[in-house]
Amino acid sequence: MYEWKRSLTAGRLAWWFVMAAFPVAITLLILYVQHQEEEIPTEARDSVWSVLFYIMIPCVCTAMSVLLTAGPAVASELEQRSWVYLATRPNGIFWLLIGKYLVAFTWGFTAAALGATIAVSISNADSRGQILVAILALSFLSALGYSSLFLLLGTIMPRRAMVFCVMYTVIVEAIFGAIPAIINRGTFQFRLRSLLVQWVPLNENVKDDPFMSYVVGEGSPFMHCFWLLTLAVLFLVAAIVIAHRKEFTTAAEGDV
Amino acid sequence: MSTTPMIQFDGVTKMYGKVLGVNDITLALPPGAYGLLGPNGAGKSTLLNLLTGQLVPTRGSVQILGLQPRNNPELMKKIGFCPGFEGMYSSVSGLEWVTYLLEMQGRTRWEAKLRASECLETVGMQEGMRRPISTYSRGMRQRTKLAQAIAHEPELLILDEPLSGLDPVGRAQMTDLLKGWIQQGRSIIIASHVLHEIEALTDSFLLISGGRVLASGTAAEVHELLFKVPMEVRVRCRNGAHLAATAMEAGLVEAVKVHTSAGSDTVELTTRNASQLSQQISGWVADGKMIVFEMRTADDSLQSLFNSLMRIHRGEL
Repeated sequence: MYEWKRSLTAGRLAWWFVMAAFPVAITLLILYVQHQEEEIPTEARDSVWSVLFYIMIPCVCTAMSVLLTAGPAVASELEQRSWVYLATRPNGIFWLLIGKYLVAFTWGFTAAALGATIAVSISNADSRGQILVAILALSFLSALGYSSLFLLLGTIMPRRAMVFCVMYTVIVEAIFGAIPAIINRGTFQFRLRSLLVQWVPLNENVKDDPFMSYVVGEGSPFMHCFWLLTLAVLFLVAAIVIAHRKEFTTAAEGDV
Repeated sequence: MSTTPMIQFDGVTKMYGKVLGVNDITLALPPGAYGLLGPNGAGKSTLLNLLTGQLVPTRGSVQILGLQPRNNPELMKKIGFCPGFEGMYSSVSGLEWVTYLLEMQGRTRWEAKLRASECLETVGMQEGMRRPISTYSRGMRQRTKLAQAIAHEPELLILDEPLSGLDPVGRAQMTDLLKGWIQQGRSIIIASHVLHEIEALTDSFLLISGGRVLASGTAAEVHELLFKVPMEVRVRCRNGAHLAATAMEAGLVEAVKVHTSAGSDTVELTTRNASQLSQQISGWVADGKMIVFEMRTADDSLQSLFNSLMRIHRGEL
């Protein structure tokens, strides 16, 4: 609660609004272009909107929101030298990281939920209800997963946390996640994409495309959720273990 | 009564890459009040970080109250730490900050708030405790830091430069508070590079420099250690050259340095027996052999002991 209350700053709220407004703005732009140019064919509407919302909301809006909160979580405590106050409390580091994780999840998911609700509602998709439920669920899982991932990366390399997180996301989540090999199964992108295909009303042509068999996994939604949550728990536990094992001294250089 | 030392360092060395933090420290301190003295860069911060479990020794082992300090929740309930830097969340009030840290000690929100309020009043923060920390003066921040360290009533209080930034009134209040803490029989370690801050609180101290503990014990015990160490006596007199020659003839000094100036000379005498030299000079003055305006041995000052130990450590004595 304390961490949550402390995170309620004007800057953070502004970012939250920007993140929530992002999918809404893009949706409005697409509707405007459709109005001016050409409408999406009726039979493809649900598929096109589903994929667009998936990219805009769980992939960009949620991941960006949690990146801004969880990525620099350890670095901010070290930079303002508050780490030692928390580290000299019983289980202080554990509770600090859990607090940071929950705050990152909450900021990320709420921004995505607001953005998704408005953006899906104003779109001209036919199955808006089903798409909204799917996107909300994917955003929920995305926030759970990416919060733990960015917290872990920020703990491993607090000095360059944001750069490290962005590089990891691009190289591992975006590139490796799209490689049709066993390596992509260790990414959140693979699990989220596999769930997307099963939860949104995609056109049969899209589902049957041979390329899809390489970039999405078979298996039940339960299995994908299970692996996604397992990865999230593993990353969170790893972040906590690393934070306990590393020596984060806050003495100024030359203090010795 | 327990025989477990409050602090036990067993051959502790800490390296930061190739830089030496502390070097092969072995000591066992029973419960009590101790001053940790040393110049900047002496290894005080490293020692405190080892005590609070923030650092792991490269070699050797550390035990505090019979427990390993690293990631030890049981020990963290028993120690209170006031770091030398600020680092408090500036957007929250002092009351919220201390309450939050008390909640991390396992107190309920209500209990923590009540206790935090009591502690902040104890350190003289009743006026500003509800204001954001960003509006605090340096002295107010220092008091808030002390409040968070004592709030959970630890067995051992570890303070790094606790009086830094306080005005004279604040220093006096804080000194009284810490004296009260010591009089209650609680243990405390105070790191400082200002000797009189420590002298006002305790006469048991550790002198640290270059990552080594140069001496430990009371001032008297360290005096014993220094019995055969040359000490410096400074005398301001009418005829410095005469005093220097007489002292040399008497075999009481090992080195002399005379600074002449109009009206009086200053003679620096290096001796292994400062008290005998002082008595002899007093005798010469009484016999009318010389006129002395001032004689200073600084024997009882911790600074004098510290300077001598540093010179021994550097191989100058």
